[in-house]
Amino acid sequence: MARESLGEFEQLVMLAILRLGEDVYGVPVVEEIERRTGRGVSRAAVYIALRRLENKGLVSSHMADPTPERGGRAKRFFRVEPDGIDLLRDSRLALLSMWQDLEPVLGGR
Amino acid sequence: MRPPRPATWLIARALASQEREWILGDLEEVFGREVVACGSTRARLWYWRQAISFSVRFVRERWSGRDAGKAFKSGAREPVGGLVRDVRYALRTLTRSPGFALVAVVTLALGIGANTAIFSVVNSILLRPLPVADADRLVSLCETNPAIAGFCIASPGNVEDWAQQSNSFESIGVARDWPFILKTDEGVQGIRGGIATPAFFNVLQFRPALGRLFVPEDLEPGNNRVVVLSDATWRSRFGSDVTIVGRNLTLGDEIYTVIGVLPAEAEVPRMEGFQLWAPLHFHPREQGGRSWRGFRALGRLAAGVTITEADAEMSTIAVRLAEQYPETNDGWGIRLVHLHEQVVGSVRPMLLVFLGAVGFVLLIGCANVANLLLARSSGRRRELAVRTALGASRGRLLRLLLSESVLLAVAGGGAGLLLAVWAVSTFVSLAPGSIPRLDEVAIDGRVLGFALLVSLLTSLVFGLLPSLQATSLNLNEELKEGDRASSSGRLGIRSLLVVSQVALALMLLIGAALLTQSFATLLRWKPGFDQSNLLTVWLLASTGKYESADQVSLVFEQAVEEVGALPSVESVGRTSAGPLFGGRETDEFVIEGRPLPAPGDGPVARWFDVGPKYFGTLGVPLVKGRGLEPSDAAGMTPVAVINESAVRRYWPGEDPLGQRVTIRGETRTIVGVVSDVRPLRPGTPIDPEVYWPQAQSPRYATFLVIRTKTDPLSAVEGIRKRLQQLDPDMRVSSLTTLRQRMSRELVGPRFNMLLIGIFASVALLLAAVGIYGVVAYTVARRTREMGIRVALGARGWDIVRSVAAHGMVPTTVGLVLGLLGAVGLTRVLESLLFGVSPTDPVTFAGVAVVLAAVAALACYVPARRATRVEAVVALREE
Repeated sequence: MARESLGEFEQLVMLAILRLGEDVYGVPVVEEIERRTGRGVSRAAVYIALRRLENKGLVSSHMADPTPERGGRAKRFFRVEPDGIDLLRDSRLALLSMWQDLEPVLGGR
Repeated sequence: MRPPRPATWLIARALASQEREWILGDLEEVFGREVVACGSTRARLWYWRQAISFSVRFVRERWSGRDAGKAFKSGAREPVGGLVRDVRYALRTLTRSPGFALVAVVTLALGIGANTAIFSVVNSILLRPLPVADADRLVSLCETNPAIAGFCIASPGNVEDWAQQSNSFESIGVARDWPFILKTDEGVQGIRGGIATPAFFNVLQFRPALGRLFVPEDLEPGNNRVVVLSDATWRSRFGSDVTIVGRNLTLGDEIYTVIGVLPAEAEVPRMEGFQLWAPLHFHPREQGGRSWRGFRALGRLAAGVTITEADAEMSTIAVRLAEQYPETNDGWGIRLVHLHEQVVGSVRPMLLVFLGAVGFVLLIGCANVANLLLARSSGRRRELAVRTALGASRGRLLRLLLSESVLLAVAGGGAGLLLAVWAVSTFVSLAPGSIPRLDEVAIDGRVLGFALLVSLLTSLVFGLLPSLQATSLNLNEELKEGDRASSSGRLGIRSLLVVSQVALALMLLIGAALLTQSFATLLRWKPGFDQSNLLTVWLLASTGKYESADQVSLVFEQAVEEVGALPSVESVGRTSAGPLFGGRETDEFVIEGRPLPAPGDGPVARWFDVGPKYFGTLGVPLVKGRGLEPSDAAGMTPVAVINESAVRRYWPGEDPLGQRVTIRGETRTIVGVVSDVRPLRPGTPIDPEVYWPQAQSPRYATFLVIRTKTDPLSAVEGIRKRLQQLDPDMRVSSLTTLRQRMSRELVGPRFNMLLIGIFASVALLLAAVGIYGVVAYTVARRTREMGIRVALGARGWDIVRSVAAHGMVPTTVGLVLGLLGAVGLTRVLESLLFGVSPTDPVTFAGVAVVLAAVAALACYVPARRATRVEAVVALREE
């Protein structure tokens, strides 16, 4: 079965989850992406991406216990599933091979 | 600080329900940080931006997702698109003829509105379960005996045994109403209350709002001076005092302790509005507890047990008890009735009649709209023919026309629903208070569903026939002849519609006429005494104040004297009950010197205890012997007076005077016969009655019957004052005139008559419009023919006759069918009719003549126009 390809934003979201390690929920994901990319991110877009990724089976989640500082509302913790990691690896390889030999043209830091 | 609520609401709308909790949590967390970092105003602004962003993105996501899903099923898209197109087209055509649309929508709104309103009444009263837990398991248990047919009563002693011996019930309890007199610093007040066994509240699964409810120990003598308050009493009389439990109340001359308060929703069906409850003031096992059948027994069926199974078990128990306690239980059986049935059973026929009547009105209205559509579609045949020629299939055209009908029906349904909201509140405010559960009547989801269903069915009823008719066309002919094409088939359908309208309207009108006649019969009530200037009042002596009932009797006699001495009063008598004010106490009796009948087969009579001046005051003439005298006092020979009906039934051809009867444990000598008091509802059999002196069988309560010299209402205050002076602790209530009691009796019949009358009038009007429409249509189509006939010398009358026949022939068929239908249908009215037979031939004939006259008029008006057709004009139209 042909693997689905990942959108850029979806990759960013999954990478952020992986970087943050354990107990990852929506708020730190947004912050991590903003910090790393230096761009503002629409929160709604992040949640939509999470929803899509979960529908595709690339990330999974579970509810935690409610905490008082959030108006008594519970958090949902996310983690990347093996399928998601495979897909990330594929797109990384694809990008790397596309980048190869182009450093002189495009320059870099 | 919490985020702005409206913004949260907006976000929550955009999210799926399982996402709300955590995404809103995330946002609230960040909001909290924003408040700390930038202040609350900026934080709120930020949150609102999020709200907009979430709404836009998530809604877009939802739509794109849906479109993506549908993209692969393009086949299914076409009909949907086609339907939208059809509806849009229908909307356009309808707005182009607003007059037609308005008439159709108003007709349908009236029909659907009336149906929805009556259905919501039927739904709330008949269909919805009673507002008690597991209402379908609640059953009334009634002791049966031929002497008390139609009553549902039970004695506490028997109920105690039933509860113990049966396996069909979780619990069985008894209760009855019990008047209390509450004494406070402000004075004495009558309280509507009840006494009950602890199991009674268990049956209804009431839980206390405060304190506790009754427990078996509360029935023990010495423990039973406790009360449970209703929520309303607790709020209004005790200011919602939460420390009420443990407080003492003076009821009569006894001190009672408040042990609990019932929650607001705890209402006993058919004992609504009781202000407080006390436990039975005697133990059910005590002497007399088995013979006092003045109670209401309720049981909760055990899970999985049907009422039939329970009935079988209880019958065996009744047989056993009759053997065990022959003196109290011989001849007594048992009958179970679902509580819901007991509460609403009496109004079921009436409500179903209403529902049937509005159904008829809607059908007649549908026929009119169908007529309108037919007239329209004949004008559109050319358009349809062109469409067919261009390749539209018949189904396609059908859908086009039907979507027009659906649109009309939905618009009519919407308007009808608004009408129903108004009509329901009007119904509730005008309906007689004797209809149970009136306060529960409301429009709920089921009613909305009903309105929608009726609207859609309606659109089929009035839309399908014309649409089928319009689409079955002969292309060649239509295109050639255009608007002039005449089709006898169309006229056939129209005649059929008139037939059904006339038949339906006739049945409704006959129903209305029968109810009107019945009402008129009630108005003509001649009880056999003069009803004017009569007052009745109920007196209840405070228990505990007097040593014995004999003393109470003396006080009542004093009341008779003092009220009688008032200048406005002509005479006063006392009685335990009388015409229109009670008198349901019935018992078996034994006639001395005759063989003892089998239990349950003996003579039965209603009994009354009355004062010496009762017959004189009421004006009931003495037929034979003597009336009751002041000398018939306590300790003297027990005597009785009977009515003529008792003589006819039990002493036919004999002289009852001097005969002795034993009733309620006392042997009495018959000393006189009074004439019968005819019942308000003619046709009701006149029961045999036995009267005896109150002084020989004193009680704590009595009615006074007062004949005034002038307007009785002006005497009311003086009488009340005098009675309160006599004994401030005495409860004085129901001080009303006999005329007032009479008009209260008439509320129900009047309401039935008016409602059906209104429906029937609407039906008559609609049917007349329908007939008019058909004849007018014929005239319009036959203008040319008329012109030729006039030119050839036809007389006006011939033309009128030939045109009017198009209306009168189907009317006659409709009348015949309607009469036949009415013979079958008016039987459902039987329980609502008094003094008139449901198939009264005079009513049938009279109503048919009236309807025929209206139909003739509806035919004549357009037919007359036909005679004015000028030959030249008609022919030039070609």
